[in-house]
Amino acid sequence: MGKTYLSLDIGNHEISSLLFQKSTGPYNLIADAKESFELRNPDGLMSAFVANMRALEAQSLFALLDEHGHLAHEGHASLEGLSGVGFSFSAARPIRVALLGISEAYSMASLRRLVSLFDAEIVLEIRLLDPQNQSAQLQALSSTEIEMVVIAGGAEEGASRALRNAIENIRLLYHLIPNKIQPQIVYAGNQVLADYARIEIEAGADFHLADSLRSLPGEEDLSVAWQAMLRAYERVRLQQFPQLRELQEQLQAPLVPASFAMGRIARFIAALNKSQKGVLLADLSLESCRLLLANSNGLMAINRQNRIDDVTIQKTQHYLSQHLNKTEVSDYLHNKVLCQKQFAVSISDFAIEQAWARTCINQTLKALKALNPSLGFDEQKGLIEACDPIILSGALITENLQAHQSLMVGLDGMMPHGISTFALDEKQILRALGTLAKLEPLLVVQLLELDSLRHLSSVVCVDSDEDADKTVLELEIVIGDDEPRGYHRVKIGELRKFDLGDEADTRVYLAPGRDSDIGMGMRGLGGWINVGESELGLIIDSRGRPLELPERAASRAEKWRDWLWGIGA
Amino acid sequence: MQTVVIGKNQQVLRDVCLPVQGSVLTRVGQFVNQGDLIAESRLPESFEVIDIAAHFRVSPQQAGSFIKRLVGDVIGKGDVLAQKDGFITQLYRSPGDGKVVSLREGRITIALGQQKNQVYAPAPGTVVEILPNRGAVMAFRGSVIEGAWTNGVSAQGDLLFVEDIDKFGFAVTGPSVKDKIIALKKSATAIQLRRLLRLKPTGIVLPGLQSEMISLVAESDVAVMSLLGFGDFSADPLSLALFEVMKDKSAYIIAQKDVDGCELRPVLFNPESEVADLGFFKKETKLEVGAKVRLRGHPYTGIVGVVKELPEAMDVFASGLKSKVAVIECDDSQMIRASLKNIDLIVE
Repeated sequence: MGKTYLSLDIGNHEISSLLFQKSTGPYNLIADAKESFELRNPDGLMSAFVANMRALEAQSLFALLDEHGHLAHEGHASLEGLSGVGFSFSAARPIRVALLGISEAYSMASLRRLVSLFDAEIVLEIRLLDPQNQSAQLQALSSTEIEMVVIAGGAEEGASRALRNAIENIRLLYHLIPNKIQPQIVYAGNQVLADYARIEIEAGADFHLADSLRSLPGEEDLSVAWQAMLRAYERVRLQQFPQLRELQEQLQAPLVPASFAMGRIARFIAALNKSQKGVLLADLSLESCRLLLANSNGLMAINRQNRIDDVTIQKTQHYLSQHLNKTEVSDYLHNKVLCQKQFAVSISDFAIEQAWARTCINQTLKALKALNPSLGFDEQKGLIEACDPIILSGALITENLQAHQSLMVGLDGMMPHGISTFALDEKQILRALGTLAKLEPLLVVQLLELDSLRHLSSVVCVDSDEDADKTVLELEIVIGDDEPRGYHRVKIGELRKFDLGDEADTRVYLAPGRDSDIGMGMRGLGGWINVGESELGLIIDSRGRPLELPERAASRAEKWRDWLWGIGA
Repeated sequence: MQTVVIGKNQQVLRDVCLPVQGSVLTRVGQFVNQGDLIAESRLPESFEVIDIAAHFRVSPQQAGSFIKRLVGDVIGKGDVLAQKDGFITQLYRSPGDGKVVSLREGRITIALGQQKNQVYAPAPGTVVEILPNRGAVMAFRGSVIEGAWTNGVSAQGDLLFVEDIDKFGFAVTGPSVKDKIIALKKSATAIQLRRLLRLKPTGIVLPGLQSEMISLVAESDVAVMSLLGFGDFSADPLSLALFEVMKDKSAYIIAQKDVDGCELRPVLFNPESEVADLGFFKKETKLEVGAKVRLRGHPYTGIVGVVKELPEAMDVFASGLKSKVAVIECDDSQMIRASLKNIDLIVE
């Protein structure tokens, strides 16, 4: 008998699900479906769920719902049933979180990194060592709408008075202040006070205990608090959207944030990565941009709400491939927020959408850097941290854009260094695998081996200080044994595309100039690389970092157009 | 498909609720007038944590015996909270009226004062559902124009319809706008809008708002409502016809959030005495040949027309993107092939 797994995600406006099955061979994706609904409308969820399951059944010919319309699990009387279900939540509304830490240096930065994986909006930060008295602290807590409180800090044998006072305030917040949502308390502080905190706060199942984030001085381990955060996250979401309870009863699966699910897979791919480079997942919707970067140092994550303000409008104008004024850009973006389904009819509208996508990615990388100072990113020079692969997903990238447009959004928004493979996760397979990884690790391994993503291109970014018209890279392309070898030269400032045909594996020798860096360890160092089959082939980006663009808006727009057309033909 | 209500004898439902839990002061079926209280919550104005142990310079354990109050005690300003007897008796008195909410380790926490958070009916209507501990769902019946955006302020006033803003007297001696809602046929320029705001009407309804003006109107206590969104537009003919109906009558701009705090589409509303059509015998509005629609997106924003054809095949637009379309005949007999995603179905 085969095994079948379902992964289901709830967004603001749609339910999306993927069905994986293993019969004789390895696991395969056998069906995928999306169903529109409005999360704000409590009555629409279950009917959308049933319609979504029916669509999967029609594709897969696998019975998911029984005669009562309930999801059948393994052990069902008359149906084969599902072996397991993954359940994620990607709706954009963030959870309002208050952070309480001993000090900025010791615990606050760690707390920010911890909650960034759980769709959090930090609405209050209290540093317990600040000279703020307990009354002011309580006042701040009571006057802010808070859905989750995360406490950390305090050495095991250290002074505990500030932490005890904070615990007392949390107790008052929990019991005295009427809130829309009963706040969840996550305690990852001084473990000597853990029992005291639990008994004192008296929050029952709303209290979630985790180990200390810093068990050893100078060492941070956020993963010790993930389970507690997941429990708290689920309880907040079920209070925010009570209609999810009925669905969860049917799914019999814990609700996890989409970021967390994707983070699991990013870490998994990074662990398999022989190149020691990081793995970057970028998920871009109209409401938010989610970035997850896993490397040997751990996982960095952020889910940033896309904001329209003067900075982002200016940035969007900077990326525009059409010459439009600020009002035109601003009006279009604001109207798009009012009506998210609005369709880009004209070239200008579509150019704004693509420029906006670049802006969102760039601004989110900037925010990720602020959260993780060790990240190699500079707003001018781009993503210095070596990343391979870079996997793009989300409606803003996958819904309307062609392959070359998707690539350029990622390339311009991130401005990576070195050699990277760009792929597109159109069906959000990685998110689905993240929800199922704990239930069936083999499914993740086999699906990743099957290469379920769309390969866009292998990109070699050349960083060089050479003057204009100077050659910065020479290439020798070997496509199969019978084909003649191709020799090419790339000059500074160019964005070149090399079609590699349908060959599964092409060998390319890269010989950078003496002052050129292609991410092989030092300037001037080159070598052979294998380039897999992809839609756009090999792209050489020798535009430099930062990109040199004309001052005049019209000329700048023309430059962007030239680059886009250069690889889109 | 998105719908937009523009018509007489309509009913719209809106949540009127507190941001936090409180008491609901109305009942289902009750008719309420604008300004009637729907729900309220009472919260302490401030908290004061008093460290008696530190004040009397004793240990927290010792301090407990000096505290003269219990949790839940209501106290007045100057009431004794703690007393340490001795050669000279030391007293600690309450800094204000309030209630003792916690006694821990020689510290007294008192909640001082009381602040009320209240929500009122934004317009006359009927309570149709109670949202427990939060508020109520209200039904408003009358002439309704659904808008696209507001600055979050609700307003009431007689409707003053201004056809040509260029001829409108902005001086104080011009048409009196005090306590009125001004409805404009065309979008106002930034200067015109600034001058209008200075005249302090209760509300301004305009076809489109320049997005650069958002920060200006967001800070204003004058209700500003845009019918079509952001840009330089003219009002659609259906809205114009309703402006004429509402002219010089009492009108309301209702800007509400739902129970989760999300902005709902604002409405310009004029109550009618006749019984509203609740939709029992109304034909469901759906996209079909003959349906009335309003277009979105440059250069058609605000154009109203009738669906003549719904082709199966997709059209390719100038952007290079494909979409299913509707062929729409506009009022001036012009035929437009519009993406289905850029159409609002009109409920009238």
